[in-house]
Amino acid sequence: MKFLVNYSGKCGRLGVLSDMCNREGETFLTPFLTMYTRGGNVPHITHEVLQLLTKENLLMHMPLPNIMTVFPSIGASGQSVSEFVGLKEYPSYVTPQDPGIETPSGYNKGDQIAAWTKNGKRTVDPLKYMNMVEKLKPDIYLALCDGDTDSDSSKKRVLKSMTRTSKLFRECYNHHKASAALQSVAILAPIEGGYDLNARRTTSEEMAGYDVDGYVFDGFHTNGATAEIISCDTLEPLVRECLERLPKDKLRVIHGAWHPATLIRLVALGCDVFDTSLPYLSTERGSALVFPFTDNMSQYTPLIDSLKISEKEKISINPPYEISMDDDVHKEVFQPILMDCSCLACKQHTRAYIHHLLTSQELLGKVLLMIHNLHHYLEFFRSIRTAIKNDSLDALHHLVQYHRRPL
Amino acid sequence: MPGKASPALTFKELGRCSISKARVGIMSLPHEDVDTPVFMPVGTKGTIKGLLPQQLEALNCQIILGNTYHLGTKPGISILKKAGGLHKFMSWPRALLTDSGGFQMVSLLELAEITEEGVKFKSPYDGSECMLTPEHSTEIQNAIGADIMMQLDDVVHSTTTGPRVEEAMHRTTRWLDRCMKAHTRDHDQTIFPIVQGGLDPDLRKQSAIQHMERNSRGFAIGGLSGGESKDEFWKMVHLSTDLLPKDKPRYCMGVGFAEDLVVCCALGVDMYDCVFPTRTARFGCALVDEGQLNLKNIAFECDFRPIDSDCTCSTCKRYTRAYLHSIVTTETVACQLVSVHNIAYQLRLMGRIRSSIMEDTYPDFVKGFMKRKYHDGNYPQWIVDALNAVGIKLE
Repeated sequence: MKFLVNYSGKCGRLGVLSDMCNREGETFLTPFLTMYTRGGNVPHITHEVLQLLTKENLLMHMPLPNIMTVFPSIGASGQSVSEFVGLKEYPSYVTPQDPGIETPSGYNKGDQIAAWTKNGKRTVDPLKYMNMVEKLKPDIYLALCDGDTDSDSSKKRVLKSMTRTSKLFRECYNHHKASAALQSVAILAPIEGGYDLNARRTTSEEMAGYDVDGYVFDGFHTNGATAEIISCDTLEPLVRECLERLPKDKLRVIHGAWHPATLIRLVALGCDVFDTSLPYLSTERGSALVFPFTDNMSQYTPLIDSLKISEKEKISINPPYEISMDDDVHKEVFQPILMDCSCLACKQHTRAYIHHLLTSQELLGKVLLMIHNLHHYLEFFRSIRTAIKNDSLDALHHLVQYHRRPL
Repeated sequence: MPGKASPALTFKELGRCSISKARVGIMSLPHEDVDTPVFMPVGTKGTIKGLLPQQLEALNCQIILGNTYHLGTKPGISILKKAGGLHKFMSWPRALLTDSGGFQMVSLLELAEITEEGVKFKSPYDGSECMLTPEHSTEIQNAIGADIMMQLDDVVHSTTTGPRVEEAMHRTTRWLDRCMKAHTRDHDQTIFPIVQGGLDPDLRKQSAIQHMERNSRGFAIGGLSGGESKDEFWKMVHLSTDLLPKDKPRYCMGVGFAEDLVVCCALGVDMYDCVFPTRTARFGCALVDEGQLNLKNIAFECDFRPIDSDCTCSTCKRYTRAYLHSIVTTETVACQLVSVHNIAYQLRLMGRIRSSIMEDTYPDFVKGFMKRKYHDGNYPQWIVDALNAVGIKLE
């Protein structure tokens, strides 16, 4: 895998990711999104529908916990994970944890890392993990790590996570270097250290010494909705600390369902890769992402104003970047989720219909929400790349952060 | 189509089997020309198992069914009217058919009380008392705006005997008159009368004759597929298609198992619907000529073949049984993938039926189909008898 930073602006940087194994000619423009999957597919979206959603090349993010239970089948098939799940045209990326679901805390023991599958807890050690990676044949993967820390973690827990990760990573790294099967596969190193500035510095300095393709800033949250509530002010100095000590020419990945305004600040710091766990979480809540990322959209979005926000909505704790589509306020709204959205759900369907589907527990409701949410998020990233090029990331941040639905 | 004189339904026979009563036709409806015999997938609440309208079109699905009872409860008649009908509400450009809500009576019978006025029942949604009259059913169906709508009929369980069957048969005709009188959109919606009469040949005959006097553009055969023996079922279908006019489409309600479709086509039925193909998909059952594959079964864990290697649906072109097995109970995508296949299977079966009728090789098709389905040659007697009655002899 090759990564080339071709523009570093006042805020953020633009790059090109290319030459993934056996995928000549395929490139990704950074900053970009890895596509979150469950059981190998984009949640609610079949390959047929994905083609209607976007023609973009996508890096399929296969978190180990939700692909692990089918490992025997994949092993027997001799196919790569992308081939097995019917997405052979797309490169794949394996991580030890699942950013879409909160990971239960406190289950990593010795060199065993807990992976929470649909059948309950499984444990993996470096050897088992690397054997699976060799069979899954992803294009990129993150080494095994203990990222079980958040802003409440004790110093002791942070230290434990660091020393364990250090050991786990070294074993994975040595295995990787010795493995013929993995020579063209990209390996990413985990950067742990919780919310401890010194710990972040130490880990970054340690990991900078290895020959890897990039770094994953881990251990800020325990996945799922826990990422959404993190304030960027606490995050920023920590990420900055890591970045200063890591080589500038390597890929920087940070997972989690960040508030879109927080995400922009992470982009501004120089992070290159994010994931689509927010569109997924939003869909599972029955919500549609509506935060604006163009001036034009910010004129349209207040359309919500013209609707009466029901009592239920007022007392709910919905994040400001989404609207709850199962709220009765949409019952008779024969308009799309967003007026100027070009996604298939907005072009063809009304809020009233989507509301009807969601409140009738019909599968198509979440299919349409996922189509809209993914489309919205992919377009958001397009505008992020444009903003970096135009040195206007600040303005974009302002638009996303300070846009509020009138209540 | 306002301003146009053409009726809301025209049916043209394009070919027929020289031995059995099987026939191919084209039924022109305001929203789509439908090739018959046709299987209509059921979209109870204005959607089919997570599939986009585009996917149904890609499957070459020409007509789908909606349930009046469910749609009338939710989203309700007022929203459907404001949306401009179900076509617009669900963004489905092709043909639609709605039932009358009457069939739900059989399933909710312990809650329902049937009088001359209509059916009184407790809503399973909120427990409130509702009265479904022929006029109300028609009003809802006019609001939904399907190309074809069903009269409200007095459905009795198909195994009921005695005077109740006769009462229901006569009441169905009276209700037909009330539905037709209440119908406000005859220019773009067609009401189908429903032939009733239980399992009594005389009553069936009377019902068919009474309905035919009303000069409708198509007819349904109702009150079957409710637990009667297959032996009684096919005889009632056979008798009904003999009586009903040849130049109008005939719809056998609630039929959808592959072998039933093959037999009923030989008996001259043109239209079918059934929840089975999509309902069974939800539980991971995929349809093939040999029967069905329960993809949950551990036997498929390392089976890297498609569901059906002869099938050209988007599921079979891309996904293996092993992969489907791995997600079948946990990911909604699995339900959609198997639904796509099952609908494709039903529609492809109807396509095979139509082309063999056009080539006048239908009896051979039937024999080949039954051989694959019952590879030990142990054909159910009712299939042998039914096919025999129209000149097709299974070996």
